[in-house]
Amino acid sequence: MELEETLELKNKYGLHARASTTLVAVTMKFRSQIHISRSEDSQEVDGKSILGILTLGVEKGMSIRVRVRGDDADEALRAIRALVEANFHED
Amino acid sequence: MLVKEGTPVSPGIVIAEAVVLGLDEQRVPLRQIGRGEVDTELRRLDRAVAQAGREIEEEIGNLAAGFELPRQILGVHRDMIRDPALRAAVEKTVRGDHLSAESALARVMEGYYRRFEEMDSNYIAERSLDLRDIERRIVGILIGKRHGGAPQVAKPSVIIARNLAPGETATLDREKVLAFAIDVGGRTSHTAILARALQIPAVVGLETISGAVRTGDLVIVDGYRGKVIVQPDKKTVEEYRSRAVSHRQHYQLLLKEIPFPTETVDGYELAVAANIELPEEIHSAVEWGAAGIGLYRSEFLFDGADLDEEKHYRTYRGALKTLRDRFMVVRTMDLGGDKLPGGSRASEVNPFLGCRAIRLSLEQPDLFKAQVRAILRASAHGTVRLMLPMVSNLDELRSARDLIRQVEDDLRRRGIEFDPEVKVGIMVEVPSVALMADQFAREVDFFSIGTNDLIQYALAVDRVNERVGHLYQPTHPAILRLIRMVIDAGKRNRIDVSCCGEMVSEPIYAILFMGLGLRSFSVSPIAIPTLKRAFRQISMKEAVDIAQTCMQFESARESRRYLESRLAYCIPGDS
Repeated sequence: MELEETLELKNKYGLHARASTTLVAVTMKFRSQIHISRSEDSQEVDGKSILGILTLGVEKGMSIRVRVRGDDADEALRAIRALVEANFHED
Repeated sequence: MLVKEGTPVSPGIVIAEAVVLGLDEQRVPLRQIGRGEVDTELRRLDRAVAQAGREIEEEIGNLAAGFELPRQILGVHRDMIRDPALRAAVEKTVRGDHLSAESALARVMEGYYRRFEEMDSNYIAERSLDLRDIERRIVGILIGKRHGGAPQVAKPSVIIARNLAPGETATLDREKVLAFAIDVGGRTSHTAILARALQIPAVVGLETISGAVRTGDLVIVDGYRGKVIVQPDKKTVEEYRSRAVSHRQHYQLLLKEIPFPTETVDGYELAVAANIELPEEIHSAVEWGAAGIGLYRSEFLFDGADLDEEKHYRTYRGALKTLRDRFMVVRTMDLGGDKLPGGSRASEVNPFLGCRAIRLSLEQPDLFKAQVRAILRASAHGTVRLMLPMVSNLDELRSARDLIRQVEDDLRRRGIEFDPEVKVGIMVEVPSVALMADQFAREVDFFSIGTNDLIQYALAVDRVNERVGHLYQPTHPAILRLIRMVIDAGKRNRIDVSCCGEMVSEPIYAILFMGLGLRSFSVSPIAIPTLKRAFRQISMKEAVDIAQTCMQFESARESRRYLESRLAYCIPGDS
């Protein structure tokens, strides 16, 4: 199963180191392949790679495109969406 | 015997053997492997990575509660080590280029460094330092030499290194590590800040110490004066031994001071607050008996992609919680364009006199207002005061106050709570303000004299320039006159005047200023008890007399000599 969604980052720092760590902690839980890109670029990185995510340079207000492929794609995407909506728990 | 001088960043005296840590720039030998060795190399790699991961987990576990910064840093390191893309890239290099695990890792890392360093965000670019740290750690395990992580020290020693990564300084076993002496860095580098928070003596910026010491050499680290003495002779060792003893005794005495009110022998009350830069230091401030935070250097909150209003707000609010009903003065951003993340990297020929602090804030009003918003929102939770740095004319002050009013109006409209009585003051550091102190006093709620910069600007001296550093004279008669001008204007206009410069952490100068009329001081937390003690042993009458005498002198030298002899009782040995 392959799913795709664009999510807007509303947390103030965007995908800085701490948020990236939090994201990777979530993506690593799933078997599916997860790819992330900046919504306006086509260059994708592995959503389980913190180094890759950092090189995307996603800042606040930007959107990311999340592409998930695998049998737990649905859960994975839901978890990622929830994380973004919770502003990466940066309270 | 070799004496090296550097920047003292955390006090204390230690006499012990040195351990010189592995080199920062280690050359990983390029090693080719045979085709049949690929699997062996990959197994080596996996074992090393697993071990590195375990070490980091252990270090995280060993961190005391409250060390958020190192915990986060180590967490990022752990994720980087376990990064699947990194593993895949290294495997590809091992197979494709027939390189050993460490050579392949070095090559892949090189590629990442380049990508990171090219990125627009300063913040991300700095993450390449984290990468170097983990490369060193994994390679160290692979080639069997310990690098990074907790230094392997068998017995209590002085740690010497070219540099220490943030993660390393926080995880050191205090029993085994007695002091640091490192080549690079300054007062505000990570090592320095953490060393102070952990209360380990440290001297940085020594430039060549790592090359001058061998593991096993006896060294003396003087964290008060910024000296490191390699292979000291007997006489020097004796001298330092007795100094260390008297410092320890002094420390015990200081601890006893804390509960007493700060007042002179003849009952004049004084306020001694703390200068801090990290939230972790608030605890120190309260522990050491600070009346409040006289200067919160907010620059350290600007370490990220942009000004994060929420982060500022949370930090200020958290600080107020620890402070309870003590006050907190937040100084708005005192940075230059080059240090501001996302800011212009165009370098100025003379950044010290350039577009920084209030000037930069007025050029970027949105950024300024965001910080003001965070400060005002926090004011609903405690006693907050807002302070503007480097104001040099009335227009700047008025523009800044306009912006502050706009933020207040906006918050009111949105029904967001804030304290409408928040006091707004300025740093008095530019001589023009001191000379027009009356006019400024009418338009602010308080002054805080920043002697560090005031002295440099007034005497036209760069204090870190070795050739003229001696001209930086705190007791220069001109400086005393400027200070008095400011204090008097404050009195006439009934506003609080405080001093947050380094100068007043020395009791003899604090007493001099007290004699000139100053009643509020703000110093580094550990300097508070010493100051308190000095104040409690003198009368205001005497202080006024001392100040009047100093005002008659024609040179800083005369003042200093006079103060040192008249106030010998409050010069504790040498700290």
